[in-house]
Amino acid sequence: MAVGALRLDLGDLDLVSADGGYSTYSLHALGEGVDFGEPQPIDVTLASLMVDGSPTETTRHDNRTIVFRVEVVSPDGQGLADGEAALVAFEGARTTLAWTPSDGYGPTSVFRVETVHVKFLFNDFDEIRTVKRRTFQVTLTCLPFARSATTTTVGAEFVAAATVISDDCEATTGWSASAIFPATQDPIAVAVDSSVFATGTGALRFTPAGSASTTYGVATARFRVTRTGLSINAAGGGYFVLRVRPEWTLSTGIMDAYLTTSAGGRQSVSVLVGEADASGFLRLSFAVPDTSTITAFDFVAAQSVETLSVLPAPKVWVDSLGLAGNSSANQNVMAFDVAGSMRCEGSFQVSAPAGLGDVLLYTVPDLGDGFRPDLRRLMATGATTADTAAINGSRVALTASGTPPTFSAPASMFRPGSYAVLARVKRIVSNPTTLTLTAQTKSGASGIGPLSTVASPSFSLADTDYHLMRVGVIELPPLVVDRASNATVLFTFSCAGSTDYHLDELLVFPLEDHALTWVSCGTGAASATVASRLWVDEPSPSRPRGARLIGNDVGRLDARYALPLSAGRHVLKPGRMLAYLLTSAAGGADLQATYTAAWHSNAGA
Amino acid sequence: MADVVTIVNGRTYVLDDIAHVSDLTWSHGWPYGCLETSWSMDLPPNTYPSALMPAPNHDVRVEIWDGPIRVWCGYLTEPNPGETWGLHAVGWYGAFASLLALDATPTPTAIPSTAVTQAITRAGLPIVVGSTLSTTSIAAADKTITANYVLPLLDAYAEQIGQRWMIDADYTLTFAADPTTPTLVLDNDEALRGTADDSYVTDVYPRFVSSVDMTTGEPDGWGLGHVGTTSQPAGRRERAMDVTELGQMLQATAEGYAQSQLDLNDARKGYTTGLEVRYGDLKTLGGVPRRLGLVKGRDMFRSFNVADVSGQVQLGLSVDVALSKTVYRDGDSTLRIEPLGLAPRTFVDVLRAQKPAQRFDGTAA
Repeated sequence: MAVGALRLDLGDLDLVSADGGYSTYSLHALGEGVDFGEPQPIDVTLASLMVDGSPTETTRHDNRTIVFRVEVVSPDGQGLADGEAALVAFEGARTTLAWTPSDGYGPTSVFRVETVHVKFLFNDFDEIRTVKRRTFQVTLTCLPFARSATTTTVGAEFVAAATVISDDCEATTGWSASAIFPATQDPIAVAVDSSVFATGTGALRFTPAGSASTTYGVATARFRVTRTGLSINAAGGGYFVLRVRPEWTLSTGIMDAYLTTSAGGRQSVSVLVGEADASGFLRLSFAVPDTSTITAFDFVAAQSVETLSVLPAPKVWVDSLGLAGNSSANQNVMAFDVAGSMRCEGSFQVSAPAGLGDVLLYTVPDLGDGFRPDLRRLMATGATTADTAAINGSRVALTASGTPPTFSAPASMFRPGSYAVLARVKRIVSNPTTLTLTAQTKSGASGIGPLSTVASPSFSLADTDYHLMRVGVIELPPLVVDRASNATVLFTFSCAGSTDYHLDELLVFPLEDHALTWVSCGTGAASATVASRLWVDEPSPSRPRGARLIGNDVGRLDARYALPLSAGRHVLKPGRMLAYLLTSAAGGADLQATYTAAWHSNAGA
Repeated sequence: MADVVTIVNGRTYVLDDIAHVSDLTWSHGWPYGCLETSWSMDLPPNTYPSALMPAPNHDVRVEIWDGPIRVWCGYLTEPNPGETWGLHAVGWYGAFASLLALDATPTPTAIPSTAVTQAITRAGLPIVVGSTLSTTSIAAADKTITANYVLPLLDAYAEQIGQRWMIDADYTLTFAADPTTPTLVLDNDEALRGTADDSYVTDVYPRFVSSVDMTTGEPDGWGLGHVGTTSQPAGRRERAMDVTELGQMLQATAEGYAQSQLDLNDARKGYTTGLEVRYGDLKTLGGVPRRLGLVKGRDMFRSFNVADVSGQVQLGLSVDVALSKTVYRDGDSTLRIEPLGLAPRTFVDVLRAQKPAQRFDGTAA
């Protein structure tokens, strides 16, 4: 009996009210005894030193089994047979089961059916009725999670690294803060701090009064920071950028942010990308809500930390407020939100007007640690020379004799594990060399803990072009520190042998994620041998390993297999994902992510 | 989730693109480096894809990749077709067991550098020599009567200089001494026990040819050297070392070889079992767990769970153990490791130890 918008479709067969057309049958699923099954969890028990109990991890989910009965109704036996034939056409088929709830508001949930089995349930009374019926049990083996009926495509928004600074926070004009919780934080003093800053000569420090609120071993505090009296012209679009440094780095959210514009008033904005930088600040980018003038900005800094004692309410530093444009760089980090309640795989498309060169695509859920695989932006010491062939616009000399360049990154940025080290280098004189990366954790200026080292095998380059080379594997951080620690990791990168090599970019990728795709697409104008588009397709039952295809035509007419130098598995988890993209020959390449949201049993969108 | 790749005649094939690959297992050793790998493929029985077919004058090269990092390299041995194909590859050290130690002429040679370079050139092997190999003969003369294979020549050379050798995942042939500094820490539940005394030796006596009859060229005088260690944790044990096949030599030379063998074995007890370690058990000295598939032979770890004779775990005691073999199955959360000095205790291992390995015969030509 159909109720409102209720639908159950197996492939193209309407299981709510199919009729036989020229035949005399009608067919419908029975509501009684429907079992949508459950995703089968694969749990692994971890060994630990815990005295009681075992930590358990669900590593993945396996297929679910959906069972229901279908009734074929007809006044004659021929009609019954025709109805059965319509149903049994799906025996062993890979198809879909789409379930739409009855009120018309609930989205359709689609189950991806791997195979179908039909069983005839004989009933003697049903065979001799005037209006005969036959009942069949249908068993569907399906992929574990329900999916949305439509795919979602998310486009790239790459924020340029350079900020046009409107307020370098060297004076307190226009800045204020007010407590939200606990109220005893008021009054919040604003002052210029010349010892902690990201740019210029100082930053603004907000010091609340009183203590944080401590309950059940967690101290929390929230206050709102407001800047009025701005006049930033956002006519060209772009991104509003701010650097923030909370005192408690363990668990901090920058939330409830608003940009006030002359045209739109006070509008809510959300963080697009948050990147860590070496001064301990987090660079936050917000898309400007409209193309008028930005007049004010306010946000809430919410901090919490585990503690048993009463702590003074934590401070916040703010620096370098301004506007940044669209990136035209060869490497970018993009953040995008993934809908759904369960994880799914995603497909990616990279495109540019001409050959992409070497493409590196790395995806990871946004863990709030500000991780980016590229280290050149964190260079502490090193001699640079301008070089238009370099993706960073300049190269750093890796002298065989002399001082090698060093890079300083916050230690909390690195999830402990094995990292693959890649370096984009070129040579001047043709001699073999070995590239060596050493890393040590530092507390302030003092090195603490052991030195981690990795050296590449000896190699020579055939020409004076830049090449992306594998250096090896290094475990990071060199000394594990607490997530709240302000320790840094100092990297030193050098070359051996009798000649100088030059570094364009140094990259580290966590191997545990297995989420790095590396394909060589060729350089120069798009042609039969040079690709300006890369498609990274998600694994599916028809393509168990996924696919990496290159070509030039947007409709994939010339898409062809590309031998990957690394085949990544890009798992999208609900919430925020980060994608890092390097295209060695194309600046400002576009990145699109396509996925079908996954839900536990009923789609939410 | 590692990838197996074959390279035939310069063209690379990702095997999982051709058919489903499962049960991928690889092993690393010290000595020898990349040891062997095996996997299954869901290929129909009546096919023979070009990815597995040797081209004329070329091996089927096999590589295993973990993301962007190569973790193993070698060449394909006999494929086993069937309902599911079983495939097996051996590290490049195995090629040296089937290539003779010859110089350019060709004549059997006992010079390590020449033998390796010529073998690589003759067979077109993709191996790079990473260490400087000796350009002087390891026997009494440059040329030998027996046509030895390169593998026993390298083994004999390594023994003489107190080192071992390997061909790693980057095709590089390296000679090195056993490690002395640990780079890893073993943090697990099982205690390590050194109880095997099979290779425990404190004094080595080399038997060498001291003089040769000038008319016939046959040896007519023999000498016995002696080297020993003062630290004898479990009493004095002696071993004879026969270096007569290397021809006439001075006592000091013979004792040098004996000292090298002593350094390799050390006056220490061996191990009777390997260990199964989980992800997180082996950490760097900075506390970061190493990815299991990347732990190799010659890695040295410090274990704090050391049992004394009574089986009690000694607190405050640690032992540094070098790995001689690691076996990893792709995707597993455990790794099998065998320490250096693992004595044969299973039936298979005992048989293997008794079978005489190819020995280098340095009798001068």
